[in-house]
Amino acid sequence: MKVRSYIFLFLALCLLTGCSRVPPGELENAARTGTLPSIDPDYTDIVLPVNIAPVNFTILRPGTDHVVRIHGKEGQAITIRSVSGVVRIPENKWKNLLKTNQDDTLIMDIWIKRNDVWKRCAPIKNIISPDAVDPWLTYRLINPAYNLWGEMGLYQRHVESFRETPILINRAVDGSCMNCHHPSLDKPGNALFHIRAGKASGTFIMADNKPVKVNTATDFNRAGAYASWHPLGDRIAFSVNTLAIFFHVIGECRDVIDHKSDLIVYNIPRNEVTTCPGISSPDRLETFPCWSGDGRSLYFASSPPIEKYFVDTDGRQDLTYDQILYDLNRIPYNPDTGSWGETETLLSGEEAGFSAVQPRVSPDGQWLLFTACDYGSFPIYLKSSDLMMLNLGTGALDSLDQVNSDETESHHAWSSNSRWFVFSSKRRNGLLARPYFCHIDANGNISKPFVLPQKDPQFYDQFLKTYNVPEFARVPEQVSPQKIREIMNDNSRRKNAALDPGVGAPVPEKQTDKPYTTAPG
Amino acid sequence: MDASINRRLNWEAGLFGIFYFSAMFFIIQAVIDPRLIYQIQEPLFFAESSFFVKFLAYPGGLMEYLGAFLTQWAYYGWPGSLIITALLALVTLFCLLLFRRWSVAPEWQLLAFVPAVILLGLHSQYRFPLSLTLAFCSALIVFYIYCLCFEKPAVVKLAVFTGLSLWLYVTSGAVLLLFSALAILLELMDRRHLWLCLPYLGLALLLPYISLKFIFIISEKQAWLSLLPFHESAHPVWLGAALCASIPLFAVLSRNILRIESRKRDASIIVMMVVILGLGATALLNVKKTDRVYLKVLYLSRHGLWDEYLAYIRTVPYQAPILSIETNRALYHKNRLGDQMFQYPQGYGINGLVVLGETRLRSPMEKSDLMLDLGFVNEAIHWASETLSAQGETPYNLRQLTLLYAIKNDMPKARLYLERLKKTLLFRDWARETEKKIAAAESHPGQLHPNLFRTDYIVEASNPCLDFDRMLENNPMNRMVYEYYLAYCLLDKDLAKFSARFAEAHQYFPSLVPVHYEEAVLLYVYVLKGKSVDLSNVQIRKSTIDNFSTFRSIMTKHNGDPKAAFPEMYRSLKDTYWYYFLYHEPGKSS
Repeated sequence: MKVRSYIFLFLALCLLTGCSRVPPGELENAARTGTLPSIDPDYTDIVLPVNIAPVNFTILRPGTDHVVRIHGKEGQAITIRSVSGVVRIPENKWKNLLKTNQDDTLIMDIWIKRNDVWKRCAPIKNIISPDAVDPWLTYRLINPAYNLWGEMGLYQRHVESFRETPILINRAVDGSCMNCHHPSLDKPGNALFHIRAGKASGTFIMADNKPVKVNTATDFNRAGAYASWHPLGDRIAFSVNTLAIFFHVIGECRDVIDHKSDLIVYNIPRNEVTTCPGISSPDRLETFPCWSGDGRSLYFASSPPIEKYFVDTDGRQDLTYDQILYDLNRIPYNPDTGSWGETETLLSGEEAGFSAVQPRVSPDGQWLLFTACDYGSFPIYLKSSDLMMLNLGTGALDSLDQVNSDETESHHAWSSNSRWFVFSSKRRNGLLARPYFCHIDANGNISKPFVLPQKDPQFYDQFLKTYNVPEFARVPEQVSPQKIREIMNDNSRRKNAALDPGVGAPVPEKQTDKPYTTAPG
Repeated sequence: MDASINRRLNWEAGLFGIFYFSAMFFIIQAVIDPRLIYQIQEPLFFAESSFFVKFLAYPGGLMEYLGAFLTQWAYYGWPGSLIITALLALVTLFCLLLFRRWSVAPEWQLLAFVPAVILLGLHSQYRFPLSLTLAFCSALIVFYIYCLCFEKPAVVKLAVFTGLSLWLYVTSGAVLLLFSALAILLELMDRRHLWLCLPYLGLALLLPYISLKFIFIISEKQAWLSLLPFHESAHPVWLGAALCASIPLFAVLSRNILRIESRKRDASIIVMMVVILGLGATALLNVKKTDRVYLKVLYLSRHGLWDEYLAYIRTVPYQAPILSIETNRALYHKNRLGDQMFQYPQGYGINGLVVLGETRLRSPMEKSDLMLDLGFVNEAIHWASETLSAQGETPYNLRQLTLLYAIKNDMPKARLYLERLKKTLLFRDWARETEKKIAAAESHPGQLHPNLFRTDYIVEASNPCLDFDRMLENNPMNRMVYEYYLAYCLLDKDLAKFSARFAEAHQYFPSLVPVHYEEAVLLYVYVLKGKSVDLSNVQIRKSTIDNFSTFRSIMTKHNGDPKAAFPEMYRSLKDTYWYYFLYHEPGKSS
């Protein structure tokens, strides 16, 4: 009886194995279509980092059967058969294949069976770059942001696999609104984010393995928002903004205006906030700080004050919000003495005819990536928003046509080796941002973007949350979500930042750590 | 007690059970109305593994998953009643099984119905989630399993308790505390293995603590209270407390009182029945009438049952801005806004017409519905998205967003929401049908929706009239906006603005203009002596002229003193605009 069972099992296995194989010769003799197959996500003609997770995809316009063969010059080819057209690549084989074919081409041959006839599509050829991408990507997952919010969380994704873990979910802090996570590339392990509203409200800062909760609001400023870690890891530049959301009757309904903004620098060991007229002038709206790789310059965006944009229409003061253009600026900084130099305008919004915001300098100091949009400082809601790049050596401006789409591109970040950048793009549906990667070589050649791979290639069509502010990290968040919750809920140990006595700017009104009315996103 | 009496009592209890739960089913169906439970809870259940996995991320997630699956059937009404009744019957069954194990005298066994009655009271609050009943039920089942092992050696009991506790905490959250309390109570009463109380107590405290500190990403409240019947919707609070206390109380009483056999068994059974039925009645009285009205109103308006709505709202003794807003919407849809709006309470003035201020944040979906009716598609998207952000995905906001983006010819976004709906059990057919329509619309692109704006402007959240003006510039034939504009002016008592727009009335009303507009224009021209209004195109009804004469004569009789004229005015003209104009005070809802 037992023997008979084994024979039956063996036969069944043979039958199943036989079923999963295409008869020999059918694929080799298949006619060639000469056209590239349509796949989603689009992983064609791209440069892949050697350490990326498998780029699972779906064959669009599927047939009744499909075979995919992924191979390079070296290593074992991967063959996948899929009746549905959904292609899931085995992780270990994929990793080996990328490793053995670094700096070479990865080929995907796809056969599609239609009307009982196999046809072979033109091969998809991608380059495997030996430049590894930073292994972690952090982001906030939220519903498209308006005034109200519900469930949201900060997450980190291991880009070498499909593992995604929460840094913190807001249900642990009574549903408070959370801002995006900023890891430091120079000091792996350093990270920060802030929580708005509720008992847990404040800024979480992890520096030198010491996690603390800080209230960065002082008599001079409300709590910091957009942040940039100094390469020394002991100070952070913040913007302090007064954002307000408003609504249009056509197109994207949301829009945001910044009524007042300045930059501050928070010194962690001294628990002190400082600033200078060059970055917190009453005559300018300064925002989006970004330290240079050597920590000796601070880049930021700034515009004239909002009062300049009010016009008198029939006795009524109308704000011409769509005329507000931000410039890109740089100010020298001496990290040893904390002294500042003279502000320099790198790109004038008025001259360029667009608003230049979100400057991000590559860690090697060669490139300045920024977002160009029609107006204002909130590009994520503007369809016109595109990435642009300034060569800091030559001053040449690149409009990055190969990177941009008709939809919003914004919130970008460099990897620590300056060879990759990630940005959020709404190109898939115009509503939800997804993280896209691009490679940049030493000459500034930029590859076609590709979306963060997912285990389920149809994931992005089903997932209604937006990937907000993707940032690279070299290590995962060092503090557990439970510990973060504990720190953020414990106000008895919260540090209240002191204001640098040298900051003598007049205090127009008492500023407090108020919850904002809108969540940047 | 002899066997024949025992059998008779079992029969009686069985018959009572059948009668009781049949009655409960009909009461849930008729009095509570599960469709209203669905209306407020709007559970969304996706038939996909990633949806299931989300519920494993916190204690009690499995019961919430099961609760979402079961509650969705309340959409159809009677299946919801059936599910609640079955769960309450299950609770009663396990109470009875416990009573048998505790040798409770048969005539006292009717007390097993008490927890179900309390749960009925809690469900009559509409917001009380089914997952809490499921969790309570699972605690009872786990406790019963423990009781089955009660005579086993202490080490076995400890092992069983540990396994059951782990299972219970993971699946049902903090009802573990209830189970632990019961197990400790039993051990205290039994006294054979008193030392077990210590590890039991330790485990009951340790599991939530460890979960909070090291395993789940949850709040303290979630760790210690999740799925206990102290939910914010459990009103009054004593009901939840009574539910938790009932089983331990029965356990204690079963040691003595509940074992004493009454001399007058039949009488005691009748008394018990009266008690149970009385509790049932109390539970039903617990139905929060204002909630019921609110939910019924929303149910009728969301389903476009305007006739039923207008008939129902006349029976409602309450007022709230959202009730007035929906009433005016219903009146418009039945083409009766300008004729009858002052026959209904308009105590909230403009706040009872358009969704303003705090009401927007409390009822974002209703704001979206109204904006869609008026043709403000972007604003409708805005408020439907606010609902999505605040409450997460619900079938209604997913459908609303699908339709809104389809109206805007923005099919990629419409498809995004449609794909989600295709994963639901209840709305996938709707999604597939809509998908076909969208595909057809894409292949034959028609003209844009007439109400869509051609030029952009910024929404004036605090000045709807400005938005109405712009909408009328964009599409002068948007009758709803025109009527809302006039209604806004009437409610705001801004008759100058009303009269300026009234001149266009003949475009929208070729024969007779609505009665309230006639009343307003007569008031403006002849009493307030406003700017002259061209009435050549307007034919005023004789009845309106007669009423106006009455109005003037009453005012003349009382020397123009509205206070003195009030009784007579109320008697004769309370359904007219003149009455509103004289007696409505902004901010007062009378």
